[in-house]
Amino acid sequence: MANSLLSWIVFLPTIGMVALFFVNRAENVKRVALLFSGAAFVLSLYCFQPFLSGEAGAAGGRYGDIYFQQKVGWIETSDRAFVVNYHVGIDGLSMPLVVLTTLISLLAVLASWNFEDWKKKGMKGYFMLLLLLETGMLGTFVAIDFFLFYVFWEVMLLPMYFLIGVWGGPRKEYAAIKFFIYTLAGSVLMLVAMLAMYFYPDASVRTFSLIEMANNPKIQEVFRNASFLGYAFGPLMFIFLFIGFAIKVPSFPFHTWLPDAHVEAPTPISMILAGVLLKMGGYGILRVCFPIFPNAAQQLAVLLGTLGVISIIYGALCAMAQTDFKKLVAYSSISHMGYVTLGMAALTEAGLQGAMFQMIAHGISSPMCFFLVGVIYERAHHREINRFGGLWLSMPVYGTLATVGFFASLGLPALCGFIGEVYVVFGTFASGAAALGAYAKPFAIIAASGVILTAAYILWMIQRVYLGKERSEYANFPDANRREVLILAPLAILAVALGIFPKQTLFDFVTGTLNLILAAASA
Amino acid sequence: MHETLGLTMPLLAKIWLPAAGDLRLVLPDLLLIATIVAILLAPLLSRRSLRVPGLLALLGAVVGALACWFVIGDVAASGSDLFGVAARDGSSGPAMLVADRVSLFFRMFLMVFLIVIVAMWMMTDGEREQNPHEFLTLLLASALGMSLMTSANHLLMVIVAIELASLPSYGLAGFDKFRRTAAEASVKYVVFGAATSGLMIYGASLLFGMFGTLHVPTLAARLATGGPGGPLLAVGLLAFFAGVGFKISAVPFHFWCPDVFEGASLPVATWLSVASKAAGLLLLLRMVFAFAGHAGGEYSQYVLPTISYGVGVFAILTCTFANFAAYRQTNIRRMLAYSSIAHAGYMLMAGAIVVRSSGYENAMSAVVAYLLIYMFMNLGAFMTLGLVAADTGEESMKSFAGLGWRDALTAAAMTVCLISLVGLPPLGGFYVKWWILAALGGAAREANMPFLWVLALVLALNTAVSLYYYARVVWQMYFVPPEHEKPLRAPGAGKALVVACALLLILTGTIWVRPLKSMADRYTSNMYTVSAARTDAGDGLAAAVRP
Repeated sequence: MANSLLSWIVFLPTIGMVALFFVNRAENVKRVALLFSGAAFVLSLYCFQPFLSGEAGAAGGRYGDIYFQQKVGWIETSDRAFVVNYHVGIDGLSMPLVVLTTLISLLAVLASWNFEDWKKKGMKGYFMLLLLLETGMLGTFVAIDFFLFYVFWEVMLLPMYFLIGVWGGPRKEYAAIKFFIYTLAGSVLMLVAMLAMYFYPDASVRTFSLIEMANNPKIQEVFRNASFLGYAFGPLMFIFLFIGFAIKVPSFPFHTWLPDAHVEAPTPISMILAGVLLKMGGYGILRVCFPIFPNAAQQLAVLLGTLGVISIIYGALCAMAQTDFKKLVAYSSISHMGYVTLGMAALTEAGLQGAMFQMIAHGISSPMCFFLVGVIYERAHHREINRFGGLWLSMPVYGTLATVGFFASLGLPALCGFIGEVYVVFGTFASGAAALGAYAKPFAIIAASGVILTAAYILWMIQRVYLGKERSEYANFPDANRREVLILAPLAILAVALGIFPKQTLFDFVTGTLNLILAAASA
Repeated sequence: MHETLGLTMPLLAKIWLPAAGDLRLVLPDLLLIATIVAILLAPLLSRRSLRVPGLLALLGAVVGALACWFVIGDVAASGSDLFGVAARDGSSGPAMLVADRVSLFFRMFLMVFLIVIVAMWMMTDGEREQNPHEFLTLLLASALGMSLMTSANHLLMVIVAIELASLPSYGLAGFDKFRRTAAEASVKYVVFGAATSGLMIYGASLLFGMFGTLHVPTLAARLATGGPGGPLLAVGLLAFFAGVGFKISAVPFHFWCPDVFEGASLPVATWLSVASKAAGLLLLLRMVFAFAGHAGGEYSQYVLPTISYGVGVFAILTCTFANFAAYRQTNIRRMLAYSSIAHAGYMLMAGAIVVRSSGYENAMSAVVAYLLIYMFMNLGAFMTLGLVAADTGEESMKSFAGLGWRDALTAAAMTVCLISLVGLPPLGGFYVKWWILAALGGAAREANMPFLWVLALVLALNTAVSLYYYARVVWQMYFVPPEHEKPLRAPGAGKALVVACALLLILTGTIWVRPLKSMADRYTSNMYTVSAARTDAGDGLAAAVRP
């Protein structure tokens, strides 16, 4: 069981998808989806087990100590010139993201429970695609083999395209195809990089294993010294990969698909998009770019940092200008993910930890915000911030939870958003002696002032939507029902828990692995 | 007199008494010929019924496929020459044909595809067809031409095989002679075909003039040992390539393709989109590999890279142009035509790997796997188009509107085929594209040819470009509301065929990846290789002309 645990987690949703072929009653379709996503979540909790003792990734360990490892031959040519393994495993970097994925997927299934109210058809197809999407996301996080990683990465594309395009809002077709083309354009560059990374080393050491590529000195030597079409191999491949990942993050200037996709997607899909899909970009950079091309990471740190800082400020300013509630949350995601990019670019302990924490924190707060928006959209059928007002009065429970969610996103101390942003800013500041050099202080100062912008647009939004005089058209809105509270409460609890006990809830699990990545990158 | 007799007798003996082993290896072709004869004779016994010739064709194809299966094990390692014409001095001369596993595998592939096409034809047009015997005769004759194309080893044979494949195809394209578009398609096809044939024969004559032989390995050997070169050689090779490029519709020899696909009946379009391209590609690769079989000095330094660049540039032009041209199409048939051109371009890239290494077995293996998967993807797409066209009466983008809500299963299967054509995992289309990439990357490393990396980049970027037009069909099926909600009226067998194709693509993309690859590897190992004994043989007819 321990060997195949991850496979079970990854493929339980697929089994659920196949099972749905044979289910016809609407109620049962939802139940089956809930059953399988719930089972995946429960199983994924077991992933904590090796990390609880605190030994995982402790000093003396090396990058690539992975747990629940499973390795089976998958594709090979007859002369073994080309070997792909089904190789999965988790370390401190992927474990929190796996649990986050199963949690958000489960909540998204719950959030889809009122599918009939959307007045759209094809419920069965919707849940099947949702489950397939979950498999794709989980597989990406647990894959150790680059080829497998790529396959799972692409598996997500099609379900997402349909989930936005069929069940989305008014401009869904445009949003869906834009998402599809952007992401595919990024991933074909990744494909070329993967090809080159496999074939450049000598035949005797060729591998797709992401761990092996980072650890094998022979491969590393080739990556440092080779050239590709006249350009230095390392930096060029780093950029190919980075473009693919930055589109997912999304980092300025690759972000334009995100507002469209988020706004047009149905609420549960927005939750998944913001909560999990964006994290894949950050995860990819930490898993593929940094450990395998440490030199390039050092050389390109300023570029990454610049993109991060621009995303922070640009996203926040855009968010401030929005009158569409959902668009505001979407742009806030760009701003928040900018901290992730900046934290990674800093290449300091605090920076990497902050980036990781910010990913998880954003993975909790942004699905919450999107769901909060969805709740009033279902009641009011519009999302114009300026037409709302005084919602807290008619919906006290909802109002309270909304405050927690948006304050977590704002980065209020004692809530999860705070820790990540502070760590990133500290880490950037400390990077003066590391990768960012002279740029460290200006970047840190700009990033810190980004927090003010964030506070501005969120507080202003809360004022316009939740506070103020009660408006007659919203006075009779029912408060959050039990299902809605059931979705919001776990996220709210997590937001508080991560804010108060950051060490026990996250840092203890991830620090070891992150330090090993950092050590490799600084060597 | 005596001399002529001396030349003629062994020749006649060869023709009338070929070695039994040789005959065994061309058994599938002989079966095709027998089937054609049977179909032509059938009206004498059964009047003009549809079923008899249809079933005869099916029977012939099934038996042919089985024959390939049984014979494939007998092939000698590194292939064998067939029907060598005796030279003047009595030694065995150059062979017209070769047999190796790839050529037999291709025949099997062709027979299986033939079965499907005949079945498809019987389901759609066959019932109304007035002249089923003539139609099937043409179809089988073009199949015979294609199967000869893949084992031709002599430029004369290449020309004969290409003509044998082309002439019936012209007839097939315009078979529905009362439809204007069919007649137009046929005329365009003939005009283009005749022009490129002329070019090809001209090119062959130039090569013959320069090297005194038409036997491909001998030609390559003489070229490698410093035969005449320069512009004349380039013109000769290019003109010859035009003929092959026409068959695989490589840009700029592709103009016939969209019009013919649009005008021809659906089974014929499907047939040409896969079989004709497959045959042309294998022929081209075999010739390129014959050139790659030699090395040394100037030849390795100038001639081989020039061939590699030439083929590579054609491949780049072909797939890039086709993908952008497909953007503007509103007729699905034309879109699929451009898509087939693009795929031919991807496969053509394998031809740029002209290096003496394991590279070309990898390349061939990738192409064989690609062809197999490509057959299923295209079959699914064309069949769905046929079902939709039969139901709505048109083949425009719009006719697909809302198909996802009218017939969920067929639309889902069509989506799988289209996404596999894009080349996304976990579908078969991704892996075969990947193997082409891997062959390019591996050879680029081994032979230090950066140009192959450029090809790999172009292929990858083209994948992203192609997504848009395939996704537009998916978009129509799911995102555009249908004109009416009535379910799709279509024969169950047709739907089953589409679903079967989709299922195969999913399976080859998940659990059958390894079997697919190892099968392709098995049939491309021990390819016909050029050895000294095979190239030294002079060309009996050419002896007098040789300098």
